[in-house]
Amino acid sequence: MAEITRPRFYEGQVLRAADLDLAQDYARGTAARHERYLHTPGIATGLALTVDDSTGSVQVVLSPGMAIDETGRQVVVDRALPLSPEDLDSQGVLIPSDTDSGVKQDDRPWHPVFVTGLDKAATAAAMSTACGAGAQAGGTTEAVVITYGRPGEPAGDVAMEVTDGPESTDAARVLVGYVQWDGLDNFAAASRVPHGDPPILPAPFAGVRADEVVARGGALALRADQDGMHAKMPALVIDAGNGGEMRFGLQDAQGALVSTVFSVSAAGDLTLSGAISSTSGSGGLWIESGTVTDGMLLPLPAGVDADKVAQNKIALHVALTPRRLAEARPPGQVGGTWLKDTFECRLEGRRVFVRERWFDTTAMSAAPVVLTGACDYVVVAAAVGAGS
Amino acid sequence: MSTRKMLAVYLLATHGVLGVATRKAPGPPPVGDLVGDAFLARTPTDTGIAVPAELLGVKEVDYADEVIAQPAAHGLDDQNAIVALAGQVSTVTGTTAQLSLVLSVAAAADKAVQVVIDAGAGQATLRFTTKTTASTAVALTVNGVSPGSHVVLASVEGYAPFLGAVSFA
Repeated sequence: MAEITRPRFYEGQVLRAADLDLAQDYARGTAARHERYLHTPGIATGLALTVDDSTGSVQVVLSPGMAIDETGRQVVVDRALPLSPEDLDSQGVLIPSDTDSGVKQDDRPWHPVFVTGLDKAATAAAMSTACGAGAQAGGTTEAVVITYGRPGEPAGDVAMEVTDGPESTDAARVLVGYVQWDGLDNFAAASRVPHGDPPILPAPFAGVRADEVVARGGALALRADQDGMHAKMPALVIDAGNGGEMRFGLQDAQGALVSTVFSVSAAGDLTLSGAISSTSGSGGLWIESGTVTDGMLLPLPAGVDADKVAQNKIALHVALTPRRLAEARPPGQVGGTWLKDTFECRLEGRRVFVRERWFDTTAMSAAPVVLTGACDYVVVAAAVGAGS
Repeated sequence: MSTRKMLAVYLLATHGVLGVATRKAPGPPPVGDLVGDAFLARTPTDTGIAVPAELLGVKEVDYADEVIAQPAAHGLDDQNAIVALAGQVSTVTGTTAQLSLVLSVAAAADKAVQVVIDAGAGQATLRFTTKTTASTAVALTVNGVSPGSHVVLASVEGYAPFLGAVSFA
């Protein structure tokens, strides 16, 4: 088992190259183990594939940026790098559907594009010969190599010992995106997140391996931002304010939650603006009651979306009862002994239809007075589960 | 002041109430939640007219049984409080060029008048507005009305509306 040696120096020591290398290796190994075991590999910043067809010929460029590979090595691209279609062609990853003229361009496969960090001896510097040891490289260049894979080809695995530092190996590839061949001799398209059937995994950004994340300011946010933008992107916030609560919703441009659709307080109060659905078919229930007059729509319980009712994602269970008011006679009548009969009390969709007839028992041969009326209602809205 | 509330759907132009609902949820919803695209104003004989939602508003007002029993006999005052309407639009007669309203009592000048006319199946509801003069009569120029019988809702600020079939000569 390899042990980790931390260099220690003393006054008057004659420093050899190996001593200095050891100091450097110790620092690089420490950083790499942090990157490898506390983060997941992927793009840290930049490394976007962009397509430029302004010249009439498609050119794909990898933007500057940095990635972390599986060994914990930082792969730094310091300038925009044009991708070479000749490289893809020469690496033997093209398949028949790349070049088959009968395949529609949209149906051509997406080839993964990888970057790999490799050590290369730097050009011998003048100082390296000053001590008469012969011409040797005065440093190591951390080069970046772009390679391509067959459709669906994974980045691959690198077996690592826990004590290992960053590796310089072709096997440690970081996926940065995908390119599509034009059927002839050039790229046709490039994307970090191409659409495909079956779906294609997007090139991953570097992540965090953590069993505990602790906020210092009293609020912890998980933001699903895109291209550095907060606006209209979802976020989950655990907030010590208001006695403690968790909120989920969409953010505004400043990252504030502006449309919280789900929240739960530390007291256990749950607020939900949408429907609950489950594979068992059980779901949320909302109840409303009151009185409504003829011609109106049945009021829905708060939180029930009329569109979801129309789409049968929420079912309504409704009871209507003719409204009984303390009325002796119909409006406009000053005499007589009257009986009221509600002969219509129904729904069409959510529209309420209520009519009533008043009969004057002292003049039964007279036509009844017909009026529109009101009804009491109870409506129970139930989410229709996905599995029901 | 009553703590019990109800939602009054009213004509924006004349503040005449057309329909009422109560519910447990607080505050007024958008008017579309209570009427859809239009409020269906029905006559006792089951004819009716769709009053477009854009002509309507909704206010939360104090509950009153009288308003539940007869929404159209009420209106909203300047403070958005429910008031019983003393007068009414008694009769409506029309030609394809003009509609004549008769009020039960003379109106003050410059009161809002809103008329909607059912143009027939598949046709958009016709809508017209004017102002009163200090008179019991209101004349309103109309167009697009075909000869024959049409359901009319005629509302004047401060008066219970007329709702019924009118023969247009």
